[in-house]
Amino acid sequence: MTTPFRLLSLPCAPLKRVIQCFDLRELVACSVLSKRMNVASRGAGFRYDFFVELNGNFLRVYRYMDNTFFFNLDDRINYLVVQNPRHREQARWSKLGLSTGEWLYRILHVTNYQQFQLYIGDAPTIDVNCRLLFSALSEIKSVSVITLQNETNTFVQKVIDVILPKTSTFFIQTHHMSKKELQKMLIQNLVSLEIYCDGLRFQLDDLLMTNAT
Amino acid sequence: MTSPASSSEVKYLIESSEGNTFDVSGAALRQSNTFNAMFLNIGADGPIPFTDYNEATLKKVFEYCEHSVNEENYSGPKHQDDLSKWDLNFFNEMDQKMFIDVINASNFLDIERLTSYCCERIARMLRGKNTQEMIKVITLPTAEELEAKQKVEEKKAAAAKKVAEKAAETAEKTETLEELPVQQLVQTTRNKLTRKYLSFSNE
Repeated sequence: MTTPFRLLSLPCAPLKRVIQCFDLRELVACSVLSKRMNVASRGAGFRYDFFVELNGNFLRVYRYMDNTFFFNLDDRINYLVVQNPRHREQARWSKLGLSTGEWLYRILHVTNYQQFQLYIGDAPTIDVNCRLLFSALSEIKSVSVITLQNETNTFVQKVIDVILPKTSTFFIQTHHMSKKELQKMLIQNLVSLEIYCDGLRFQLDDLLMTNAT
Repeated sequence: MTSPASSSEVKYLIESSEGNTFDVSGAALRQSNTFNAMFLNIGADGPIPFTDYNEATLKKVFEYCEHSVNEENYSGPKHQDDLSKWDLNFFNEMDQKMFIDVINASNFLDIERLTSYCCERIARMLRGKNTQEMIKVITLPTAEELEAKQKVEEKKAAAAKKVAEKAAETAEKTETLEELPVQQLVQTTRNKLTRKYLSFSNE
């Protein structure tokens, strides 16, 4: 069968079974082809939990020992890099005109994720206009862990503002944080809060603000 | 053809969309869960109509069923590399249209083994491909096709709406026609009774 195959002409059940044969990389590739393919891919019933790493100008979406999707936050760069650690392969995919935020949304949407862990490393150096990224992040249902590693800037602050209300555990590993910023985080409904830094000074009153155990 | 399904030598007659009939062995037909659910216990009187599918497709599907009768019990989809030479020939000699028809028929007849092999085969065509490579393999409906499809659906919906409206109108008319004589009857009886009562009271 060398001619292109009309995949969407298949009945619902076989189409679902075809998609169930895919791995994460193929599932994601398939889901960005069209809206109908996205709906079909989502219906295949995959369930993955992710690690999302925001470090410098890069966004990395990955699973442990599975495919990793590298995005540049600069939407002018119209490709992403997909790595497969098992096969030690690396491929460059076209973003197909979609922004990083849209890709993130599609990946999370199609995999019916339950929760993910967000790691925030260095703040981006470029001036990122990430309206779509924030809208993708605001769609997130729950974040199990946020790890804040380094200095924050307005972009990181905005990410935390969007994500924090849905977060259960917060690891703060930075001392570049003002008292006001810390208080803002403490008043969230966190299940647990861990603070690992010497430079950060706060009083007992600050700690009493938090509902976290 | 219409005898107890327990005997493996029983032959059933299958009717295709063209109205043609052909024999299929009971053992082959029992691989279809749809058949098992519909006819296995009660048997079939006359040819079994699978009239949504053409003869070539049904023959192809049952050719596979006949072949896999003697194979060991099905235990999940086989990897394509594990397929026998016969299986590979079976799939390779089909063109795309036939392949899709076979999947449709196999899905309707709920033949687990054939459906899963077909699906695995399609998945294999897309395995390891990125978005752009996938576009080359899959034909996605174009905007024009989608528009045309939407128009057809809209037309169908409009036609269905018209039919429903007409039906409602005729129902209303019949209601009024049926109601009129009854109302008249009630009125006339009421008049008669009043007259009788008046005449009685006058007397």
